[in-house]
Amino acid sequence: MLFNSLQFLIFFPIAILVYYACPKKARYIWLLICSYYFYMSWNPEYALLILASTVITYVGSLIIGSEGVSNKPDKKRKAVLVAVLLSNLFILGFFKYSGLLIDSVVYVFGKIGVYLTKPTFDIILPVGISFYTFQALSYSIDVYKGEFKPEKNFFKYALFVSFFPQLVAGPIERSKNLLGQIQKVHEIKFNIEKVYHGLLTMLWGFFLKMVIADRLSILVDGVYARFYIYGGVELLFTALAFTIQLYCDFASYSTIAIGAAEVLGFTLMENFDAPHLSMSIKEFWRRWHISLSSWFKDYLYIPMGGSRVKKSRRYFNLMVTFLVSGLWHGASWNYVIWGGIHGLYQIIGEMLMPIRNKIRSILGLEEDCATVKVLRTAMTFLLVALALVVFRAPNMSQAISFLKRIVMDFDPWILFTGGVYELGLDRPEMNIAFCAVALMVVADVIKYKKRITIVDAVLKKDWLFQVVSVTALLLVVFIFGVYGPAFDAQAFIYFQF
Amino acid sequence: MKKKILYGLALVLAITISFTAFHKVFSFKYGEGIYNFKAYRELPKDSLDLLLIGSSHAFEDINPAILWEDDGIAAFDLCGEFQPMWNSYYNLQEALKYQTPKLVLLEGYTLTLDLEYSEPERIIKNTYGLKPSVNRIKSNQVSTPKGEHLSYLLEYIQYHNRYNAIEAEDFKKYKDNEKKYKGWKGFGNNFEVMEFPDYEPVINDGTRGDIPDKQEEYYIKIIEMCQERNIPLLITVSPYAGYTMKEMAIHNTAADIAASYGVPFVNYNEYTKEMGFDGMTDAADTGHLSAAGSAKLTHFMAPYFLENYEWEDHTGDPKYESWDKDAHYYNNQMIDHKLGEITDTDEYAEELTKLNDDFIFVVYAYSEDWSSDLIVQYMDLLADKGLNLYGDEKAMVYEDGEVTLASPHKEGYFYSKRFDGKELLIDEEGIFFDRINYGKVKNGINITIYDKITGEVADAVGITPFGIER
Repeated sequence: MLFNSLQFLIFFPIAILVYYACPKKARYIWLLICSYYFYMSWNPEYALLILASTVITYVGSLIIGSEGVSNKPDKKRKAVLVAVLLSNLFILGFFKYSGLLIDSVVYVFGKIGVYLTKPTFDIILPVGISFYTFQALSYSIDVYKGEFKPEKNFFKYALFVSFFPQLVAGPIERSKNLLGQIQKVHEIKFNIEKVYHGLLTMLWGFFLKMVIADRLSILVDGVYARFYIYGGVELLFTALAFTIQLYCDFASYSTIAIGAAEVLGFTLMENFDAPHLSMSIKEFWRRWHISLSSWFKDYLYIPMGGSRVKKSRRYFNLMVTFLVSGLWHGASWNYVIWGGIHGLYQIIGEMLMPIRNKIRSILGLEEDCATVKVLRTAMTFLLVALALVVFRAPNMSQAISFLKRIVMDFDPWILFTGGVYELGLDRPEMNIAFCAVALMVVADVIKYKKRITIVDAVLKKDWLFQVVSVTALLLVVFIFGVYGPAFDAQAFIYFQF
Repeated sequence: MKKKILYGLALVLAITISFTAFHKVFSFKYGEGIYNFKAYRELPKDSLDLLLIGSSHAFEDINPAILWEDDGIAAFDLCGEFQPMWNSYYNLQEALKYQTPKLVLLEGYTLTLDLEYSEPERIIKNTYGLKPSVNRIKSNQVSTPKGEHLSYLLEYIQYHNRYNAIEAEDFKKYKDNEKKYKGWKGFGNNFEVMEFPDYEPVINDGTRGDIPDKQEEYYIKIIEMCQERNIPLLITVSPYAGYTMKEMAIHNTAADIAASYGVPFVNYNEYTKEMGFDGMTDAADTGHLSAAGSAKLTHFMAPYFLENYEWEDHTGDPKYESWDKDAHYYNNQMIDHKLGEITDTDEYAEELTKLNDDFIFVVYAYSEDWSSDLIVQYMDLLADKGLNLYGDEKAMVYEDGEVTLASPHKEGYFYSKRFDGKELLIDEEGIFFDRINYGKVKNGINITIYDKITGEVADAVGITPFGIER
């Protein structure tokens, strides 16, 4: 069930009404039913996988955290943790990466002259498997570390793993935050202001998804399908468009999830913090997909030694973290390479720091002057966009050709001859996209500078401004949203991860 | 608390107003299927004699204006493009909430269409005319593919992306032609003509063909519904040039079914000789009749109606003013069309003199010399016909028997006046109705005729020594 579907439009109000109307002690049961219904609407069989993951981590964590042993790590607890991690990673690996593994083995053997027949499996990738697996794993690790007591109520724990607003595309929640709130779900009171705030947050999410992401996807999909007929500037424009599309697509899911949870009285962690205004790749990763970045930081980078090690070891830790992060995104070497590029960006960026500082001092520019800030932001955005070509292209050879054409087939005249209106979106559609992106940029600048969301910024204004803004945004989503007969419902890109 | 309530009310009000306006502007404004239902609901209570249902083979072929003027039958074409039987069934059920006609005529062309669902645009045209009701829901359910029911029922999903197609007419009460749709009886006059010099009627050899299941199911439901309600039903098939043996076989089966219920079935494809169908003038295309053809069919059908059913005399009854209005519209539309067909300057002058006060016309001489031979000749010709438009000005407007001369205004134009919300403006550049220049020539006389009844420019020509230019 997509957020931007009619089913959700019916499901969500019913979920909310019953949630607030039913006895408070039964709320978590109702939310669990809703969550499983939500997940099973894609494919009922998926429920078995999430249930398996839930049972394994629930039982394992109960053993790990059982009284008397929780304070001193011992072999038994470690073995159980390893078993929990491996079994979950096996499920994830089997459903997500077996195809990649087989393809790679066949490819490597083919290179040495041994031609293998590829076995055919009918494995469907369950939506959101990477998200809930990581969420469940973080719980087990937290219990192992003694940072969280194991939850004894299976249903409450099952709700933590399957909480429908963030189930299939995050934010990847931590037990401390979400499970803590689930344990006190009976204390949540109906708060009209919070509900309103949640609904407005969802509305903003729908704007990002339906007006921007799904509109740009028409352009991006069309150009990527036949990129070889386009010139460099057109392809660069498309690469930038995909960067915005991906951001709006993914951020919109998190925003709707955060809003939906807020309507239910929950507070989810922030997942995006104006990432494209970052002035370095390092900063970008502090602001992009925060819940995943922090997951990798807490459960991979720091356990490997983090930054408090020799420089070479630090670079190694960084590369490993980004390569694994890339692999998390998808079962293709493209994603691994994309992760590697981001690791290299950071290492090279750090290595070039003295040279960059020198150039700046020769030019007489302070580090915090406007020109340097704008240049750094633009350069970071460009680097992210170029790396995403590898992420978006169907394979590496096409990604390389795409990037080559950007450099070798320079056609700046298309900026003056209206060529951008011939990339799949006509002039009115493109103008709508431009205006919507401009509004998104305003929202991000407010977030970056004032540390508040666009919704909070609007709600701080006078009542008339609020009423007009909310009504206008609602109309914009209804009119300019990409939905209905002319378009298929666009799935959120991150569902596949 | 009070502030919060007021805030909530303001928000609800703003959203309601915005979305009402959004609906008004964006919603579909098709004539057949949507405006006809609107006009139908506005009919005076229990005024309808004959309800025509079916597809374009009814609303382009059977003319209520002729039935009204010639036979005093108050008929209405409540039809939709390519309307399948299931839509006819629910439309009829809904229609019978408002009127109890003395006869329901079902045109049976779509019995031959083997389809499970119509194309999206036709689904819209055949369901959106119904007001929110159980019939609307059921019609939607049966008309739309599984999984798409809700996306058609919630109309905005279908029309929200019309933002690229919105035009000034979308902001008006009736799109395209308010004059036509106010009091409209659902008929669509088709002025196209496709010539079929080798047309031969299909001979009924008595073979039977299968009616597609879904069409048959609702065909029978229509028959049974009319019988349950004691409303006489007549099933007809309008003639058309492209009629095939296969279609006739299906219609033969349909006739059998009708006969088994005691319902009369007339396939007019078997009577094209009797009605005088002319393949050169009476077909608009392979499937429809032209304006001339539909008039022939309607005249041919009328005696059957009169002989076989009971009709009341509506003479002088104010309830039937809208039928007068509709017939008036139809007659003027025919005059407009006739004007548009004339290619001879003398004949044109002749017709101009016959025009009554329904018409406003503008004569605008574009010539270096107002008294040039051409102008003099044509003005003399008009004067001979009794239309004396002589004056010193280059342009003149003839309205209600009076000539207004157009002389330069201080703002630069010669003449400006609004008719029916449209501005007639004459300046050096030409004759403009709603900013469209109807001036045709710069070396002769431009004549633009506006029909107040149809609300349209009936014709615009340029008269030059070489004849008429359009």
